[in-house]
Amino acid sequence: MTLPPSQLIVPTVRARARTQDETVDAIGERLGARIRGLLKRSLHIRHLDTGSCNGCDWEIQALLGPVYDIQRLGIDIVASPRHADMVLVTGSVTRHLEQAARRTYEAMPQPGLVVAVGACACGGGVLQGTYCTAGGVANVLPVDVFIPGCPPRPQALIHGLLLALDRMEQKLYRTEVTVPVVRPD
Amino acid sequence: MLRVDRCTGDGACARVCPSGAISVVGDGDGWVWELTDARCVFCGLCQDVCPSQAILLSNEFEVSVRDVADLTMRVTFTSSTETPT
Repeated sequence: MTLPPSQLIVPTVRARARTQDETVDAIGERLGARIRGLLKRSLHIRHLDTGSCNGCDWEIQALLGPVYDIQRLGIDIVASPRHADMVLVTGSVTRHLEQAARRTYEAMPQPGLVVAVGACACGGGVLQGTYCTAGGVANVLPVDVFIPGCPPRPQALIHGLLLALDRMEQKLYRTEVTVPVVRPD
Repeated sequence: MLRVDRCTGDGACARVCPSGAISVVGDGDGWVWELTDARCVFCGLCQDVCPSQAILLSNEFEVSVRDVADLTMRVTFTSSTETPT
């Protein structure tokens, strides 16, 4: 018995797309309300590529596209870490980019958040244990939130941003402020 | 997602995993199944090779954590009790 492809595939794909859209809308509204309530302004993010394969970068790019469009929630990707509240780090920090990653973090106004995006940034991924990488962002910078995935889905990125805002609240409203120690050169 | 009632501990998933994210270690009395999301590339090979269909990749997306240790999922199987913890 042979069924036409439309009967085999299309209903499943359509159903899945619908649920994902609903998820994105629900979690996106939560994120937008959280940013407005906590910061009273928009959240500025600097994207830092430390030797990623560009998969994670494309997912971040997809967040800014017409489907997900996180700018409507009050999020902007800025061109300099000096303007950023948060840095999204992708890639497993190659040796040549280690110093650049550290300088980027130092250029951020405190309290700055570091979010590791993707399996490589979380723990090295497929490059774990190689001579040419630091094996994850956590070995170089103080990471606040880890978003695993290869690459993480846009919904996962939005969920990670929500977690990062919780961390931002802790950093903003605690009495004593300690600057995390960065490993010296 | 691991269906714990179906896992037999044969370690096919650990052998096929390209990034070494899965480890299965047995000690005669049972085995420990461990998955590290910090290395998993979601290729689905483990799902394909599992002879008992114990592994299913899902659409779950709320996987972000604050601590890198939380990325590791460890399931301990004990043959004497037959109830994984």
